[in-house]
Amino acid sequence: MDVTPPKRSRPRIDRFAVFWASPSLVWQVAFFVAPLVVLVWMTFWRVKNFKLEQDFIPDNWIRIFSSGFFYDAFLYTFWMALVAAVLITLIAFPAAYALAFIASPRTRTLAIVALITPFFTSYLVRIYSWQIILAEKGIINGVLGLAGISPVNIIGTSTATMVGYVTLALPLVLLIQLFSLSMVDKRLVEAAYNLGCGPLKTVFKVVVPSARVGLVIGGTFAFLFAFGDYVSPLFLGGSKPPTLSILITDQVKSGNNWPRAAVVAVVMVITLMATLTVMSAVAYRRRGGAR
Amino acid sequence: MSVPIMTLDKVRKSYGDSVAVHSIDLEIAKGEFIALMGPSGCGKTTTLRMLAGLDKPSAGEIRMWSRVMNDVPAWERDTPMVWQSYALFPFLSVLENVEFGLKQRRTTDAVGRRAKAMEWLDRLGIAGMAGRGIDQLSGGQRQRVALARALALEPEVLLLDEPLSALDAHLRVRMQTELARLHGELGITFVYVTHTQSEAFAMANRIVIMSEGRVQQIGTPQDIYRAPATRFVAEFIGASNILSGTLKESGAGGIVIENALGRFRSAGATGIAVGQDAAFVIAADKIALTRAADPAEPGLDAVTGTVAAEEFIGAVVTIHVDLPDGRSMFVQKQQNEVGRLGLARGDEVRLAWHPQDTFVIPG
Amino acid sequence: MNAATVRWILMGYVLLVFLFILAPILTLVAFSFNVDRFPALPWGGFSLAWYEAVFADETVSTGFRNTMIVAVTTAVVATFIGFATAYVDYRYQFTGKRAYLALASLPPTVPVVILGIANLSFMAAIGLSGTLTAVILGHVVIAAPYAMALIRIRLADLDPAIEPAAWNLGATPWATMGQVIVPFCKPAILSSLAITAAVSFDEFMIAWFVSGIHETLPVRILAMLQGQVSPRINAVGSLVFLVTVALVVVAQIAVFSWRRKRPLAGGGDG
Ligand SMILES: Nc1ncnc2c1ncn2[C@@H]1O[C@H](COP(=O)(O)OP(=O)(O)O)[C@@H](O)[C@H]1O
Ligand SMILES: [Mg+2]
Repeated sequence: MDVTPPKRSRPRIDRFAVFWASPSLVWQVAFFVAPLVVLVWMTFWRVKNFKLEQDFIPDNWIRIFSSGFFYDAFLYTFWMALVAAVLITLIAFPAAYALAFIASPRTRTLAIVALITPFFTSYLVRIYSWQIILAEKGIINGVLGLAGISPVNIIGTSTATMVGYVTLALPLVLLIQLFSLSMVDKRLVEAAYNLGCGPLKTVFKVVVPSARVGLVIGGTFAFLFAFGDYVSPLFLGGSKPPTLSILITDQVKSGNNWPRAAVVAVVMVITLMATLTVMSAVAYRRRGGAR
Repeated sequence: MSVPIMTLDKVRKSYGDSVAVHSIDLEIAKGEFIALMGPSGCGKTTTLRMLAGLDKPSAGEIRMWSRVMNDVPAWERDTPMVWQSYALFPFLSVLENVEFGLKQRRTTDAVGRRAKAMEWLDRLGIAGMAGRGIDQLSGGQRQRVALARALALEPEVLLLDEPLSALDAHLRVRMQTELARLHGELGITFVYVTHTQSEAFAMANRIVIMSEGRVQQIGTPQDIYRAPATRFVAEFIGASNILSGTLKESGAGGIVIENALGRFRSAGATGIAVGQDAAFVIAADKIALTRAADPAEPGLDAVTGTVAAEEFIGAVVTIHVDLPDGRSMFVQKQQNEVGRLGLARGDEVRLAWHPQDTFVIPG
Repeated sequence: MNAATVRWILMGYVLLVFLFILAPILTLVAFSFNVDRFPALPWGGFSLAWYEAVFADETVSTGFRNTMIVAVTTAVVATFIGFATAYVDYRYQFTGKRAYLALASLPPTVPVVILGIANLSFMAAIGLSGTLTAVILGHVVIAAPYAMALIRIRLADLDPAIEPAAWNLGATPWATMGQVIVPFCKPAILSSLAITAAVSFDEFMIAWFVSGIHETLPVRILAMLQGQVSPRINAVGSLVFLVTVALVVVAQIAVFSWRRKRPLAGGGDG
């Protein structure tokens, strides 16, 4: 008599699952991870007679790190991004608070639409528009002139760059704050009032701590956006002084030195990764863990 | 016995380290209305999902007639299910929901499909809703759509997972009647999961009581009600008093259990050895209630105690009695019977019963 | 100061914030109709001349055509990838899922200037430098995460019993996908098509680095910006703005239509 072997359930490959899981994996590895890997690799190439040659030399890193303008640009970019993060967080908070706790649901919905829309639309032309507003003979100075006030010089300064950063990041930061404030239990706020907490004290003792994660995430995004932005420092700040993104484009478009641009880009990526790590530790640290 | 329509043979299901169902053996006969009952989390849904092929047994075998079903995918089976949440397709109309299964089979054309779906909607009394969206239906109507959707496939077995749990009490009773009627008319097998006793007892021919992934008892509602096999079943059914003690005698004439309240007789033999812990079970409605001062009826076992509380549910009254050793028992009587006694809290009463009405379970 | 005054001050502040957000857009549109060559006050007079100039400009119409090709292709591919990823997240548990999802959602957090230079060298290496295909490949990377997020939000509302219910009625997983999951996700898919198209329509950095001579419209605008300030930029900017706003608003209408009973942020009023 035949003895049929015990049926063992082979680990069958679920073709259905593989079909749906692979597109994103394949695409992001091929067109997101691979270019970044090439970027890192390229920092070790050489440029000879304006031609790129594969190599493995540390020269580009040495050149970049031994040039003063790189440090200046790095510190300026980092500082500006930091200021932007704090400033935008501060600008957004009262508005987010008002929309979360005072505005009617209708107003809130309208506000959300009005914030999502600019996040996706025409950053480039909006910065151009600020150029018109802030220019030497622009709208602000036009209005000031009518009032008999002498013109102010904004365009080409760090202030103008900052206006651009706020334009870029404010809608998203406001949305994130609004979302996290909406999660704050309104009863908590009322309880604080009942316990004799003044309104301002309630905001700082109850609302801000409860919305901390949202505030930190919002600020982090503001930093991220400002740190990587190219348009505002160029068209509003007049690339004086240049930021890291301007260094990159200059190296590529005029200098034709891709490897050195790649070095700057890799430094940016490392900085952003470090910032994200630190900030997520801050956001999700246990309450009262560090005092 | 002829071949069961469905067989679970030492079926087990585990998720990682946690075991949802331990080695279940169960044979389901054609045409029966079998209820799986037990507290939440005891593995009823898991068992039903394995019958439908939605979960794969970790061990053991599931057969339909004599075909082994373990590796047959859910969509190649013919065991439609009625879901606790109804799981109706929200973007389809009532009619399209009912047509869904027929469409997958491709046995009829669009016209035949429509006719059949309408026939089932009509049968369940919701033909007027055919064109509506699911969100325009009440809970009871959704329930009927879910039933029509499953029954339109005209299966041999219908699986139901707590189908009435989302309905209000009034509707639940009406649907019970309706399900029982459908079962009778169609002659197909119903496997019905519930954690509500009244549903199982009202409709099922046979009840499987489960606890923590194990079968505690399989039997007719009568069996389970009158002779719970384990302490768990007795407590879960809740209609009985359980008095524990030590088994003192065991023989052809019955057994004797002793505890602080006295010696109590019970009929029948058990596997429990003399000297071991045991308990006997006496149904609350099998107990005679008299004032302690009244003469005792000969041939009965009895305890005395004081009335602690009375609860009225409809015409039935439940009287809780505190016993001298700190335990308590309860008695269920028709209100008019108890009214005669004119009891008040603190009154001394005697509870008496026939030994042959009791059952012994391991302590 | 009583509570009502505080409320008024706060709402006034909100108004100011929105004024700041809207100011550049209003200025942009207004000056596209100003007859003066240099956009400044006082107002010179109404004119459509700049629009006429833009419509006559062949680089603009070529740019627009390129942008449309890129945006439509990107929208379709990114929505498909986003849908697939959202479904995998909804349906499966597996080791490495966190890393898988992180990879799928991270790209928008990387500055586009970095993606631009990375793509530049990469596309050169695989011989796609200077093609619209290269632009599309890069745009899908940053657009797919938005598609995934939108469709995932929709799937969160799908009763987990629905899919097994379809299998139980005889539908294979493929049939269930076509007859149940996709129809259920339709509003999110529409919304995702619009948003991903908008993301691509607006992207100028990756496109600038890899498109070569095949300029897209935003790249053309970037080039115009590097020249003289001109109301032609206002005109073309207004047109681009109109298209993206239309796309984003369509996307939001689709989202709100399915979340009518659940406002996106509803914690404020009880
Ligand atoms: N997919 C799953 N993964 C892990 N544990 C599960 C899963 N499904 C069910 N369980 C566990 O199995 C046990 C039985 O669940 P279930 O069959 O749903 O119980 P019932 O339907 O009787 O309430 C529960 O403890 C439950 O937590
Ligand atoms: Mg269950």
